[in-house]
Amino acid sequence: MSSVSLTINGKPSTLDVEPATPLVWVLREHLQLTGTKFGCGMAQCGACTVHVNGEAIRSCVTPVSAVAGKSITTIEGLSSDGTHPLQKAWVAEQVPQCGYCQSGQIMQAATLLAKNKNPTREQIVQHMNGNICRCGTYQRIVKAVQRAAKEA
Amino acid sequence: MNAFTDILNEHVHLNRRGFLAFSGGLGFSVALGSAMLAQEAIANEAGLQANVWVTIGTDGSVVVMTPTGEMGQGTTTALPLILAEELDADWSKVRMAYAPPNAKVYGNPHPLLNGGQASLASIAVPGYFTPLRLAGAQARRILLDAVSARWGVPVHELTTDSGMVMHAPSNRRIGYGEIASFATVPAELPKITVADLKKPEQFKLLGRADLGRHDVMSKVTGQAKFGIDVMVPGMVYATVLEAPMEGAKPDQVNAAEAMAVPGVIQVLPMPFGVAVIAKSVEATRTARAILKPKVTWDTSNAKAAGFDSEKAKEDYARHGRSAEAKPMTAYQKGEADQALASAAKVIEGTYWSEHTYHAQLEPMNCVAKVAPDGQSAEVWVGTQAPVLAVMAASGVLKVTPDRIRLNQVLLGGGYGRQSRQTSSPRPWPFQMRVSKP
Repeated sequence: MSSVSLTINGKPSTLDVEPATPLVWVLREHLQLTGTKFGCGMAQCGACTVHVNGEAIRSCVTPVSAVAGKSITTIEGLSSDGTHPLQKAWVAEQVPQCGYCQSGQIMQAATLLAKNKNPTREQIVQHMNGNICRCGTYQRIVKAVQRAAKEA
Repeated sequence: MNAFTDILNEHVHLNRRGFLAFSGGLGFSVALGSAMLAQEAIANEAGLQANVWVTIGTDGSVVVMTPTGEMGQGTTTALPLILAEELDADWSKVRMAYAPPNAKVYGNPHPLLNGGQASLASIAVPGYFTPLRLAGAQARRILLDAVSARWGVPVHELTTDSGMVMHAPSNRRIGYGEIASFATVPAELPKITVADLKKPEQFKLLGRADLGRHDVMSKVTGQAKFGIDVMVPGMVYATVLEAPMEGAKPDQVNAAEAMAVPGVIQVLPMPFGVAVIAKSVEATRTARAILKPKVTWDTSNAKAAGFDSEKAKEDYARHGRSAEAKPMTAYQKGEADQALASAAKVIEGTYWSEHTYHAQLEPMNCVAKVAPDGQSAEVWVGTQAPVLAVMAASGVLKVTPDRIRLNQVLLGGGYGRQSRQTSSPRPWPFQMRVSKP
């Protein structure tokens, strides 16, 4: 074991984990932040998406050693009470069905709105392209991102 | 051969058998079912359990038993809403609780399930619609009778709205919670028929798009708890290096390198693969990857070892065209044979569908807390077929199903895959977490 220091949802944290441990397990099992989901384990589905220094990454293929000293935001840290414009829009549009992919969808969408306050539909679809929803909520995801952009 | 029919028929069959196996310890099982938390909460609130479907707390809360799992189809909102409509409940005070696995009480009467308790084929709302309405109307009637007796007024002078009973002639009103503090359930429940139910134009809750699903907020904040999120103190993790084909079993297993991964506790050959047990989930996955080239497989009993998919397709086609082929009826309406025989023009076609993976995003998983003596267990699993899940767990321990306490949790997608936990050669494939005794 070796120790790794990270900042997670604004809180500095030092953990004893194998450096090669994928970030998703550090978040889910060691820190019990289970809002980040494990899906495919090979960066193909997007369920494990979190922010590292503001960029969306797939935590299932990111070794914890690669994010040492960096600032990580998970769905639990996006807002303290579910009031991020995307979360409000997600509720208004009743986006989730099973809900398993939705933490990743929202985290992915948040990095788009952080850079582009008024994305076109095409830009939204392009940006969300790597996040799979097996229930097929894509139409509502696009509508919710558009709503969040308008209401933010 | 219709695969869909096959699945459903197998379900009905297994559900019936499951219930037979289950009924010996039924009382015990109900008490220990997944509804326990709700029942404990209800006991604390000293509520009125009007019937098997609904309990009204003295605080006005209404807890509706929900026999289905939640995998995004919305039935844990829709089914309570149906009951709440006829109860005339205040929707803001209605909560759901998972009904225990007990098909005799909570089975779906829809013809496709024929009394089985499972979440599949989009039949929860059509199947439970009338039973839940009757249960809601029955609970309402119990409340009305209690108020009628207490106030000494004829029951027909009483009306209800949003969790209140009103008596217009005396301008009195009383909340359901207060009624629950003095009402008793009669020895014989009031008889309610379909004729007693509301007309659709009287609906206040059903059909409203603005109500929303109860689970949406927790699913946008990351707070929703799926099966894979369950944690039990002291638990260890297991994963399985699957056999490369159905029926193959491990032959030579060189576990030395996998055992050297920090945290690995055991490498365990099973009839269907090799399990890795470790103190962390990442250790199970690292060790499994290391183990993969270190296992040889005995495929002598694997049908797939000599399988030719092109030949199988030809066989399917030949069977399908055979005059002796016996089609299975999944659902019947009208007289198709007659209509086709007398039709002016008959169009024939052959359709193929591929074998496809369900691809639910949440990996198959289960948490089991086995008692130190190995004679009972508490299990957490998101399942479309809770009765089958109990059978699977009892089969692993070789105990009767009443020794299994099942906790239903959210499913990260179902699509049928999460109804087949026993049909796979192993009861709990892919990932399992076990609490150390």
